[in-house]
Amino acid sequence: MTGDLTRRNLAFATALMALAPNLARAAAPVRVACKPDTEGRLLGDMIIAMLNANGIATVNRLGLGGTKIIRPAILSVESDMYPEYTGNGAFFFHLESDPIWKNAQQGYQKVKALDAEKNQIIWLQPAAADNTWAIAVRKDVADQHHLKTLEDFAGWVNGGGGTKIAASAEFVESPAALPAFEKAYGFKLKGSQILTLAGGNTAATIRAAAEGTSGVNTAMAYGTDGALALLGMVVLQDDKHVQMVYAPAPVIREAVLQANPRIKDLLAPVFASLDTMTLRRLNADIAVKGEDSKQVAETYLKQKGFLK
Amino acid sequence: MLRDRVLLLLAAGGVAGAAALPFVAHAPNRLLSGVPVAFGAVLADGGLLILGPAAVLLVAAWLPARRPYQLLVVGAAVVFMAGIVWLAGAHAALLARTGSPIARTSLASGFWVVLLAAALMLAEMLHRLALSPAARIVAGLGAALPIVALVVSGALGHLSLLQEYANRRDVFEEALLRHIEIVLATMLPTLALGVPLGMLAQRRAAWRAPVFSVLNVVQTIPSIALFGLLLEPLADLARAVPALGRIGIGGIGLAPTIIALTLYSLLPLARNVTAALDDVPADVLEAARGMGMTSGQILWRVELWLALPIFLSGLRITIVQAIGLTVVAALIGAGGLGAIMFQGLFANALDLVMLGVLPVVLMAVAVDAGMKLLVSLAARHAA
Amino acid sequence: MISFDSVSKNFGGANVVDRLSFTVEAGEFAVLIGPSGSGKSTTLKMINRLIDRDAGVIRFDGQDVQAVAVEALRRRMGYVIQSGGLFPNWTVERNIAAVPSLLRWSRARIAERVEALLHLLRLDEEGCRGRYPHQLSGGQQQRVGVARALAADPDVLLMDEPFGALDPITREALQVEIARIHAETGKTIVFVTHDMQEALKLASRIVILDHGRLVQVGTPIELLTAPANDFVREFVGQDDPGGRLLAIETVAQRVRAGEVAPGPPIAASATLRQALSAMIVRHEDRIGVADPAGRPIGTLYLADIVRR
Repeated sequence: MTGDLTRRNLAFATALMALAPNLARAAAPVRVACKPDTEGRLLGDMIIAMLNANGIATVNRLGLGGTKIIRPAILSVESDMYPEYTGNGAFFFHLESDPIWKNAQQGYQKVKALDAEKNQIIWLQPAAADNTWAIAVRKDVADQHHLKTLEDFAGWVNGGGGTKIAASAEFVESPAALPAFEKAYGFKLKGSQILTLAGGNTAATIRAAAEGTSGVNTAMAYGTDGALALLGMVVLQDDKHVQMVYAPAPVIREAVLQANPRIKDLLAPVFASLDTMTLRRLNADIAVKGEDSKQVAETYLKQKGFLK
Repeated sequence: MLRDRVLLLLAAGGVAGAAALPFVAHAPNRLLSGVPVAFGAVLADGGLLILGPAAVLLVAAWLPARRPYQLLVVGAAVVFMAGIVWLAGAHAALLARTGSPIARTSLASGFWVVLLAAALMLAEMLHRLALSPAARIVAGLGAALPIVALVVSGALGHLSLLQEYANRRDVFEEALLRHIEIVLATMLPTLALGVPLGMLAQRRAAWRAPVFSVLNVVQTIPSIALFGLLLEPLADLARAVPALGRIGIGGIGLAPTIIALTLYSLLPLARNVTAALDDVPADVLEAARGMGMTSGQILWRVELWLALPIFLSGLRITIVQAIGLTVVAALIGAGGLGAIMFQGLFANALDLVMLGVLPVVLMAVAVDAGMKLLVSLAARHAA
Repeated sequence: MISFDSVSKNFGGANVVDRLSFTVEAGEFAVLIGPSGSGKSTTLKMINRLIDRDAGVIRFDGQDVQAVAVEALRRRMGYVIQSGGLFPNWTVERNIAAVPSLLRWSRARIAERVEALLHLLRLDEEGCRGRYPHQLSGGQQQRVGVARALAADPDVLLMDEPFGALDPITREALQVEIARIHAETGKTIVFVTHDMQEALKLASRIVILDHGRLVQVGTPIELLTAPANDFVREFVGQDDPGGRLLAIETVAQRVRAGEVAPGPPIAASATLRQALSAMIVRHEDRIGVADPAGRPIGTLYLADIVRR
């Protein structure tokens, strides 16, 4: 009878713990979150792997939600760290028109200072990569017309070049995106040259360009998109730095960093090693080959000697 | 002589699907669209074995409506369904031997149309056999068994869907359990609130309209908006009462998910509680009162049992709805199969989307069938 | 046993029962009758307080019904309604045992009582015991309803148009049945109907109501021979008053004992109408009479039928 009751209580407690992962947080493990996109998961898995391998317990909150979920979550102390992009600082602090975000180093210093001061959130070493909005052209088209930079692209378009771009509505309409490129480089795409994909993500736009769907040969892309190289797409260089720099960096609550000061030096070399080409390759392993992001992350960390 | 238009229509649909639509698609990698492979091309390499059962299904519309023939069609449908699944897996394996390692073979529209046509013929035949609800469930499980066996055997391992699964086996199992957990955890507050609410609306006419208008309005709020509305107050609550935060209550994760899903689940449940009690015959209640039962005795000895079938139907609808809705839990960090589905959507990987969606559909179908069995048991003498 | 003293009931401003006074003695078979809207059902339901009166006093066994706990009051009164109101998910046995089990009788006592009632209502010989209500005919359901009402051996039986929904043949059979049960048990019965034939056949006393008011109380013969007004005269049926009288009285009341007549005899329990009908068919002015066992007990003459 008593045994029965105890067993039932135990089962109840187990169920409760399953429902409430935080209940058993005796040693205050670090709650690591990330956004649900490919790169977010890759970086999140890297952070968790590094922390776990060095004896820092973690709670896996990967794929927690988009910026609108994950930012309030860390502000309201519901998660402890996640990878964020420096350029988003412009929106967090309503400084969208400040040109400082177009400079990688200055933008990073700015958001680091603001977030530390106002929110006790620390930005650690960012990656040497930029996942900003970009325009990519299918390789055969780029080769044929010698397109390497957006300057080349503008010349081609203005010379009556047959471009057709697949993009999301946001990319087409947001003043900071396509209109900003058009203004800076002096070209103008006609309505017939734009294929707007409702809710289009870059996987869809790149695929449309790669497959030539509806005559599309150009795509909205992000700088570190994994699909680019494997699907034969070339990113045009933004020499005028029209776009803000989106360098991914781990952000962490100050209190948690103080409790686990080693995290800073553990992650710094890892993120320093991640340049744009590396991220593209790793993202491609996940998005195009379909490998598991955790395996991709751990394999990379081992190759580079960050993990044994 | 043509005996059955429904079977003819289904068979014709299956044939049209097989003829006009690709059976599988072979893509150079996970992101690109595949090259369509027709049913005929797949048949050529060893799939002729399924032509036997296929022939039975094609002539089913002309067979006499007698039990032996009906059983024959049932058997043919089961073998045929397993056959085309095996065929797709075998062809994927064949393509994998020659193609690049990152190439993907996906089940294409023709496969799904043919499978659906066969499944509907099977369902129609099982219906006509007029089996008891329990026997129908056993038959349904039996029909699914060969396909389950194929999945477990690894014969389908080269299909993109199974590759997606293999790449994230742990994540999938965790997501599946999480999904079930969320649905169950939603049902507790839903029952605790929905039953009294439905009873209140039934007992007090003045409450009926307000209760259901409020629940109706809640139903129209998009889940994302509801999460947004819940985020701040719950986060504040967790800050104000740290003990709540320690058991996992906060602006993100399980707490807002269960609150939101409960709010959505209240309408179908409460509505059915009200309808179930309304449906208890007035003369039975009058007789019960007339013989001197107290209102408590009437509730526990009479109403509860007579209301049970409709209540269980309502619970069935509520659970099935919750299984589907739980997909959005992923948007607020509570996990579940929605996390896999959204990952697939973000990556434009259709098979990953399927990996998230298929178990949701199967779970809903299973719960639906199980609950229908319960309803029929409860309704046996309440007619 | 039951007395109404200036009882009124008001629904929505209108008096459906208006200063009603009458008494039902113990052992009586009282029938409440009237056109629809006469308040007969309301009157019946005020006895077991399914409806509470607004004015006046209703006494049961000398006690104001309002002064007794309502459930206790109802458990002393059997209640039968038109549609039976059987619990559809309970077997016949369990339906009959409903009130005894509410009264927490012992299991053995309940079983014994159920047995007796199944026998009394002739349900056992039809194998109804373990069946569910939906497996029974309408007549069987109604008999179960009567058995259930009698189960706790109540002081009175309240019956609200119990046979109203049955076909004529079943209705007639059940009328015979209830008359037999009344004779065998001596229960006080208050019976509501709108069918005057039924009232004349069953009642020891008839209470005629119209618009909630008492019009006349009397035995069937009193109503037929001395109607209080045109309403009663019309209601009891002015087209065939003689025929109705014949339908009430039985052969046993007018038989000449000892004499023997040729031809097949008629049962002593048959009505005078049936006896007259048999004589007309046979073209004879007398008919033999037999007891229930079929033994001849005397002769009925045509002249005896018209005698006062």
